Amino acid sequence: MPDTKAKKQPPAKPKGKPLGKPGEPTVVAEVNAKYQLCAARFSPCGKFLAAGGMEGQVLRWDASAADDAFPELPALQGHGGWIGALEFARTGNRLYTGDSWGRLSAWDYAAQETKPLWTTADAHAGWLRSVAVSPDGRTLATCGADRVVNLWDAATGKKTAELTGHTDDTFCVAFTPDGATLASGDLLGVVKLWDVKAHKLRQEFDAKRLSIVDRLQTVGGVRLLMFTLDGKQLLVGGTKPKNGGNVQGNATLLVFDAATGKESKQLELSTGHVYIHDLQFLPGGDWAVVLSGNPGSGKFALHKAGEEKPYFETTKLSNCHGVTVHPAGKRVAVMAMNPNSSGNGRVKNKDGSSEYPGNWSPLHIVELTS
Amino acid sequence: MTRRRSANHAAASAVQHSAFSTRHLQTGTQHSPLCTPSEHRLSRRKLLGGAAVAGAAAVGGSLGLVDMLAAAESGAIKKKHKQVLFVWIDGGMSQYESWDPKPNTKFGGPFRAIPTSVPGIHVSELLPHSAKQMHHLSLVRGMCTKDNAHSSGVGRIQRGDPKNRGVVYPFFGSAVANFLGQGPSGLPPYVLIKPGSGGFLYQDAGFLGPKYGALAFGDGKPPENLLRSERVTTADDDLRNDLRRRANARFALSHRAEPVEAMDFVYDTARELMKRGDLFDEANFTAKDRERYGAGEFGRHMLLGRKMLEAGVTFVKVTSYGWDTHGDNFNGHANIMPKFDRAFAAIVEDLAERGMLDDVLVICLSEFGRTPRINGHVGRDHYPEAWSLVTTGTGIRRGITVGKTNELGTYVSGDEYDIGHLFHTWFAALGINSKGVEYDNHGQPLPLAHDDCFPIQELLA
Repeated sequence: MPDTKAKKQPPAKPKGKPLGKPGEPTVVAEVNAKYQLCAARFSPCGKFLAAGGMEGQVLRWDASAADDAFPELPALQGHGGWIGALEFARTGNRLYTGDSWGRLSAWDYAAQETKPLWTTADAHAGWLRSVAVSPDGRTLATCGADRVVNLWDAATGKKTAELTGHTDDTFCVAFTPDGATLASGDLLGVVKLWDVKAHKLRQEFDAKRLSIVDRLQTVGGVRLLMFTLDGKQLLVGGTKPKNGGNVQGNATLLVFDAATGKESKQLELSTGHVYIHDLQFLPGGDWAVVLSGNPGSGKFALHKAGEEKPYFETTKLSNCHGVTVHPAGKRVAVMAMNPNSSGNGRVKNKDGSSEYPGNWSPLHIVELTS
Repeated sequence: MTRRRSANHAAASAVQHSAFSTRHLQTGTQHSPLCTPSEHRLSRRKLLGGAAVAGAAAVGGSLGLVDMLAAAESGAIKKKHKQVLFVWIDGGMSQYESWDPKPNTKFGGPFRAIPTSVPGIHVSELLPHSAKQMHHLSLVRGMCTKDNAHSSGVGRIQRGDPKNRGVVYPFFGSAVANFLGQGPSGLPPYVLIKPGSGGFLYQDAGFLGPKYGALAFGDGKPPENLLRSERVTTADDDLRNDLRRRANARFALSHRAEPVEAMDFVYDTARELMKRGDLFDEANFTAKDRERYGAGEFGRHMLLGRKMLEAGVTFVKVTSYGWDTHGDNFNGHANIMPKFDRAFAAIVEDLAERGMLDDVLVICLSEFGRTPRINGHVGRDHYPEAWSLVTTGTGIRRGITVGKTNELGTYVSGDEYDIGHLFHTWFAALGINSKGVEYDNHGQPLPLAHDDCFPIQELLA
């Protein structure tokens, strides 16, 4: 018989900052990048965390260090502008990055060397928006402001195909799990499916609800493309914009049957948090999603696959722009913003002087279950 | 200091301008079919009615006007009939993504800087066409103004943000319309081409009185029923106007002359505009011009703006909306800037080729710039402390930059320029000595621009 008279132990104090109730996700560490970031990913081995910054550097941290210290490693040099395209190959210690000046680079991310294995300065004429690595690691796909989708030999950096047909800025690319098909999406809400071997257009999906032409501007567009793990569905994310200029709208995810092109679902993941900035699969297929946009304060949410309502969500992490799942499946890193990031930005000191510190992107390491 | 004498002198001067222009244009103007009535937002009757109110208010004794004759006598206005193109970028163009790029810096954003036709001057890669016209342009990169709100900033900037003396100052367009009049064209002296609806914006004129308000062409369309009804013959129309004039003359015998003169001014202006329906006919735009200016809204409006300048309108303002990019600033600018760039570069090139830059002052600005820091919505907020504008044309040196910001673009390095400095400069460029002439607001002397500011000599030719 248990000793019922024994003094009740208080519940163990959870490590870190809880984002919800006990048992729900908790921030266990914060990696302060000091810079503003565009994209972040864990390496497939789980030992590295890499992020593309807004000052032409690829930042790296040791994700295996004790006590979640995440010591910073030497940054990878050579890019310019913003590095928003950043993907690891599944094998071979390869990281591929692309920047807003059109440069594409390949790296041995685990090496001390901070120079690229190869680099192509003019991979795109203008902003290189997205890079995808084929499942076998042999082919890269990129797209950009020049409306072109390019295929590359991942080993050499040699361009192997130029896929044309988009009529406006292309934002994202994604391979099917078998690598046979590539999807690309543009500002006008057009999704094209390409036969990777034949370099031919196979199909086109209509996601034009994610875009509007408003007076002078076309806004919105396809900001995220992901095939489900079984390759049967294509997730197309962005916003349903209500206006141009200072874009407002509802973060929206369209689900298409990848074979037929038929839209099966429209999920409005929020009202007010404008864009779906990133979506990653958790083990088992659940979604980790981050949203942000004016005037909302941003949101990190966990969804059962295909469900509109999240089973967990928080607005405690300000204006989230990226999420990456650690390969062990128990943690994610949420790339957010410092609080109070809006407004003039000038800080007045007591002595009458002023300074202009700017914003930064903390990477919150979130334990999914405490 | 030259003080204007009375309101009626200005009205009389304006009427003289109209009479001259009427004779000038009666011989050569062609009429063209216009758009369908449903596309119009402002009726001719409304225009006349609004202007009549303006005229009455102007001469009602509560508001004063600059005495053009006195100014001319004093030499304050050195040349007659200068013109102005005023491009208003409503909401706030980002200086980083336009005239003052800071690539690869903390706040520089994703875009590169590109060289221009002037060695050493770089602009954002989003302005490739304007970069080729840089030798015609002057960049003022040292703007430091005071208001970071649209609601008050739009007015403060366009009124020159003078010292508060308890009056509402005129917008620059109204001030110029007041000083320079209609010119020989006889057309409305201050027109606004804007998206959306049109109308008569008497509020622009402030204490000058609504006579100097802006006649707005919504979406570049003319006032509704601009053309005379086909049922009214020329002879009948002449008879009607003769009757109106006689009635006015008779009324003037027993009343103050100013209301009558003002009404005549307004009617004559409207009648001149009635003759120029061709200006609004887009069929007159060449395919090459459409391509150069861009087929979108702003391109069409800028092309119409050029037509208005060519026709002799004194002050042409073209407004572009959609620039308040608190969210998604960079995709927003990537999309909107090329449309601006194409049209702005085309009109500068055209004015230069036609020799019109010698007489047309060109101004392009917003109510403020945008913040260096990039907010959580990947946008930029309002920032008056360090921003840029572009100007050129009559009286302005070309191919230069004036003022500069620090390495990160967070502050102005060296001399800061408020909008008052620019008002003094632009008045000077138009031949108006803003330090030598005052408004006379019903006996209250008022400086043309901020007392503590002065013309930027570096910017003046």
